[in-house]
Amino acid sequence: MQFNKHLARNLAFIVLLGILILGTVTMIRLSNNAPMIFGPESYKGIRLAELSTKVTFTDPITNQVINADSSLFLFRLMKQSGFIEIIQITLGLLLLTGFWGFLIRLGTPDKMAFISAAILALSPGFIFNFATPTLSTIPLVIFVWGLFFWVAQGNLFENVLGLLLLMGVASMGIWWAISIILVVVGYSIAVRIRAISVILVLITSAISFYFFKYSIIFSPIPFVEFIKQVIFELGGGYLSIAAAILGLIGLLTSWAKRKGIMTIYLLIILSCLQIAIFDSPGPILILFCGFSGNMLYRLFKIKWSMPPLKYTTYTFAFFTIILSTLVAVSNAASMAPDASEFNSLTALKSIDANVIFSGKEYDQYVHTIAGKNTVDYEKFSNASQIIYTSQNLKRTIPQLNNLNVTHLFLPKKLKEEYFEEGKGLLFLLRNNESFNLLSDFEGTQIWEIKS
Amino acid sequence: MRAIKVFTLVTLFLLVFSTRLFLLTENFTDDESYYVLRQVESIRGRGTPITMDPLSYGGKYAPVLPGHYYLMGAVRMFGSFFAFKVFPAIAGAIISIIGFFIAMEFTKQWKLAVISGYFAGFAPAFFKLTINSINNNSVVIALTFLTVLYLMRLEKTKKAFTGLIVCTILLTLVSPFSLILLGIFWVYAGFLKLQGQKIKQRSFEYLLFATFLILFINHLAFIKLGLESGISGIIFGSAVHTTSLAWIPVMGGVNIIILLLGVMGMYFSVKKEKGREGISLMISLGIGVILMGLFGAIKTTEMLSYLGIVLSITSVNSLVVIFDYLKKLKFAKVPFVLSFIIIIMIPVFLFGLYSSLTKLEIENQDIMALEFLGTLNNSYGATIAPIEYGHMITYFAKTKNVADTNLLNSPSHEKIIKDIKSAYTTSYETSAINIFDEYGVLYIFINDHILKDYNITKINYLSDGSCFEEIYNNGTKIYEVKCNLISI
Repeated sequence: MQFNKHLARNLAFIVLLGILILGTVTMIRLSNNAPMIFGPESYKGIRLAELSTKVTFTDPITNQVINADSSLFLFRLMKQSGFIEIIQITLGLLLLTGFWGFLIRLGTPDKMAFISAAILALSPGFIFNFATPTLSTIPLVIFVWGLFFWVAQGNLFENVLGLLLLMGVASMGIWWAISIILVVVGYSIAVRIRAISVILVLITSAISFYFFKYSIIFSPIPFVEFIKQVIFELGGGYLSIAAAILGLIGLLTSWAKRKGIMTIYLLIILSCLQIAIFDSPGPILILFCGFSGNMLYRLFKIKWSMPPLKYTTYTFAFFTIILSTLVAVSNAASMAPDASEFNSLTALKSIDANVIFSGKEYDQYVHTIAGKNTVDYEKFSNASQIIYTSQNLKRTIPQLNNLNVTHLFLPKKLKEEYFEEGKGLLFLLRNNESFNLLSDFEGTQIWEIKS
Repeated sequence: MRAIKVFTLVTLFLLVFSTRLFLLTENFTDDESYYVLRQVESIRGRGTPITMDPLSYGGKYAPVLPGHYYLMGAVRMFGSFFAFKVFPAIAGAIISIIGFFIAMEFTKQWKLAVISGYFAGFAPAFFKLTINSINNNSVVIALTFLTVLYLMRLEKTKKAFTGLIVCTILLTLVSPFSLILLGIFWVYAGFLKLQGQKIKQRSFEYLLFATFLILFINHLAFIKLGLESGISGIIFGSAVHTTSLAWIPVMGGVNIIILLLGVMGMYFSVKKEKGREGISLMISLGIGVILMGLFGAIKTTEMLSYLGIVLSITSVNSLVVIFDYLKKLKFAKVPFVLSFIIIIMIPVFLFGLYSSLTKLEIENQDIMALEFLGTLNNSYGATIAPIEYGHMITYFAKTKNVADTNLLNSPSHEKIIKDIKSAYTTSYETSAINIFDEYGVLYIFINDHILKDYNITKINYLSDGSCFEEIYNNGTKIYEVKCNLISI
């Protein structure tokens, strides 16, 4: 790869785009005094990382036995460094540059690599994994850089470094191990035999399987739920719908060259299986942007027979991608916990409480920030429903007592979403003999149950 | 020859149109029409449709694609209430002409294409769905098939390009069905690829354009829905998920004659070595709507309407084979051919007519009861009734409903439908009051159809006069709920 001025300019633009996207989320949250770490996935990761002092440990809140892997240990180091916010953004920029460099190394045309990396920077999956740290943040970056070094031709140092990184990723969870085996074996079959790499990756994976006690839980999810998780759909997921469709067309039209990219097809199928059948995150899917960039690049190159359509299509494609990015940025910026929720949960930490009743979406925040247990809303859905809606103290209090609830954590957003003004539980809270308001941070309240 | 062709088509149009006019009744036959009326009134009053609906599901944010409501608003503005009802009849009758032109893409025998157009015009499910209703189905179905027609002609004539773009934009502004049609078009492209054919350049360019246009407009319209719904929410949030493919309703909804001729027509076309693009498009459309119906994205009658029209169009291929065969027979005389046509065409007409007659008109006594509720000027309590009465409640009674057929951004409708049924069928007063408490119900709406549908003769707990008071009875009854769980 000849690193010229043109490539340097492209790289600089991609880095700037990454800073702009991640920086916007950061700036908005800073201006709202909201914590820089947000979203249930991040807090779940932090809690598990803090608990992972040894390979097998028990979660004191949920009483689940958990097997750690090296991603949890790295996450712990990242958290302990005290610069987690800066590290996560740096990792985001590393992902973008690594992905761009990898495409260039594969011989992808400059513009195509540039467009693909730009679509990656604009993808919701990138925003939700790098504006805040998740358990997928570190493995993704190491995976991409591992590939970048490993595919280098005629440079033994880079190849060894790449292999070490890929072996490291294999120890970050069962799905990463399977993905790395697929990549190494697939590349050896389709492009160039790398026997040593295959053997070492297989050995590392086998050791990881044994040492970290890898296991998978069969847990299929409904089809609509799967689509919701994969495609951004105006809110969450990995890919914007425009990028997903472009990628799908790009993937289908690349079918003629399927031998060379069979590994990528298999990785995509694996990620989809991960999500659909095992209800586990499939972060590699965000690299699907490579196909989206491929298709968008070809759109620019196609000679259109109907010129008026050409620029209109470009405009709509651009705005559809941007629209998803804007919504993702806005969702990330307003995601819980906000300042009032964080302050309330910090206050809750020092309160002697048994079980907290709130909303299912606040579980991870209560567990991690307040260090308290919550109600299992799915198991006790009927009881929870009665507590939310009943206006009869004689029905609500016994339900709360049965669930060992001693405190209520009611964020402002939850009250707006779950209750009609002054109805249900909110109506009962007026009763001073049964409930005592402990704190109120800008509408986010903590209530103590007296009886 | 051209004059005869035009005359025949005009006659066909007038036949379908006049039949539709003949079947018009005083009231609508579905409650969604009353939702359209509310939207039209909002447009006439404020210039914009209702998006924050304070009455639906006790109050919810329900964004809409406003195209149909503005169109109906314009019709209402320039015509009487009768014109308001005639417009969907015109849109419905046009399908026979569109069906004719699509069939002409398969054959040069225009007389057989007229028969196909006739079948499309009287497809039973489509007739049932769009008669006496101002919901957007007639416009959406007409625009869908017009888009399909222009797509088929795109490679042949430059004029089709403008038509195709206009139809796509209009359809996108009228209904989220454009998202489904988009998926169908991509299935069609895949279908061609599987057959070793390549999608032609103009069609591919149009597909790319339509993809981003439709995604962009839908994103823009529904952006505030956010994480909860998404694209699948938009598609799946517009119908109650009750579709099943039982044979009898399918044969009744599509018409057995159209079903047989249509499926045979598909088979004959697929066997051809050349020119399979058109039939591939029709098959993709058929498969697409069946899948969407099964996934619950469209209602059974909508699914059968599309299927009926698709099969009507593909039946032209069967007719070509049958008539070619008949011509070879020694006794092939004009009367024989004519009687064959009559034997087929009369039952199709009767099937169409019968299906629309099985659809019950909304009764005056229900409307009067709800109008009485409207005079009470109650803005805080909700009225409970089965989901298919939801829009009538908000239109006539102007009170909140517990549920209606606009499921977009609604709370868990399956639970609500179950709760509504429990409220009517339970014998226990406390269970019923628990439900009334949960949904803030102040009035209970009861008529004979509801009792029949729930297989009950009366609601037992209503005999408790201290909690329930009958405030209206003209056959249709309204009870006021006077207790809550705290008071009993």
